[in-house]
Amino acid sequence: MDQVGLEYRLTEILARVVSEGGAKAPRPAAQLSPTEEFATLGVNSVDLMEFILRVEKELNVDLLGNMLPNELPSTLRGWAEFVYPRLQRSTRT
Amino acid sequence: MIEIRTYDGEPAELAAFCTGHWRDRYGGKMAIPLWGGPLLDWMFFSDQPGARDLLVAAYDGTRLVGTLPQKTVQYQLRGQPIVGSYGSFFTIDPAYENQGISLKMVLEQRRRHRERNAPLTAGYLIRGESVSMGHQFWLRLRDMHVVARAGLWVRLIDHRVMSDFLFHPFEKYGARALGWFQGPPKRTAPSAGIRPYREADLADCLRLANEVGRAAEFGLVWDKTALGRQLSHKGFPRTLVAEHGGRVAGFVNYFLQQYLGRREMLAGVIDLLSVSELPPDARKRLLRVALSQMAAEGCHSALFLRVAGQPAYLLSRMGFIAEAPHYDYVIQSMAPDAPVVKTHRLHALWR
Repeated sequence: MDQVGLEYRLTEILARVVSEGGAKAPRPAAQLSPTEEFATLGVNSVDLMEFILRVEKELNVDLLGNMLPNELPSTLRGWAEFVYPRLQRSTRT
Repeated sequence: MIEIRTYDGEPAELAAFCTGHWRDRYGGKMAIPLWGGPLLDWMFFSDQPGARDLLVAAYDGTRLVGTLPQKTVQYQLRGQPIVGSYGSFFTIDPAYENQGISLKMVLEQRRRHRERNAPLTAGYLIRGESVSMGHQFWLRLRDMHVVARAGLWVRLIDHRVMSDFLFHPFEKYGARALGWFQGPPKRTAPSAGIRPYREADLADCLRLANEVGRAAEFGLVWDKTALGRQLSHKGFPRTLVAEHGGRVAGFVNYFLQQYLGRREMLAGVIDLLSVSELPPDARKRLLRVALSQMAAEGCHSALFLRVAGQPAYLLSRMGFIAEAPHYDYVIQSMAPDAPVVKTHRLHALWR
């Protein structure tokens, strides 16, 4: 999976999480912009944790283990950029 | 731009921020503590170097928008010392709910704990309250573990006020009914051997407090500095000691805390109770004097965290009721090599 494919996969996961999380007007994945801030997408702290858990589980990658606070991405593109190298490493090992 | 940094304000401002947002979010929906500046001053603030190291906060410019304060403490796990922390008062300004502040503060706390070789932090989560987001957030962290369910010993002092305070009909009517035959604690003046704590009692109290702690497999370890502050600080905590055989052989330590349920109520929250070196009559007398003092101070109830190793029979005799566990005692591993705590025998403070 390349970074564009990964970004699409993350978008799908986030759309599911926000819709299951009871957001007032959840948007389908196609309407989620990869550069839109999570704050404007209505992603609350519980949704964010659920998103991270699912990405870790579905992509079999550790995200939070050594993350520093200033590394926390706030857009889907930012997450794709953060996850991609880790995914490459976990695939190699 | 949100910045995660050390809290730079005063205790009263921190209390007002936490209490204000908890009141707005949960008021009228579940029982919440209304924290005040003196409590937070006692818990977190001192002139010692590094005292604010774990007071993590989020700011938007100069505006405080989130807090995750914790306090460094010494624990023991089956006799092995561990540096750790405990915390409470986790609060986010709802206007900043969707900005990832909660997780950023958690990551910053973890960074600071790792820097200080403190591998774990402990706290409480409210169980079963659908309005509380804390449980949902914290238990999604893979390094967070529920160690034990936590309940309280409750001694009703003003049954009518407590009935009006409680939410669930069963508890409300139960409190009223209990008042018909239990009544408030009898007014009991301090008698021979029972008196307020003095600094000179610290060595005896330290021996007693750590004896209480040794009954637990995991819990706080006291030293002179920590216990001295716990027992006496600017008149906030109250401590009564009981002498026997020419030395202090028991003590009770509590503080006053306002809560908001369907109405406000004032509780005397017992943190430490040591009676094992006292004869049975003196044990009862010490607790009776403490309850009487709480009633005179306007308390509507006395609360005491229910953990293993406590004098359950004595507490029952004094009218305490074991409440169902409403909380989870949780530990977050802050380092990959953090020890795993699996025990119900705890020595902890209720916050």
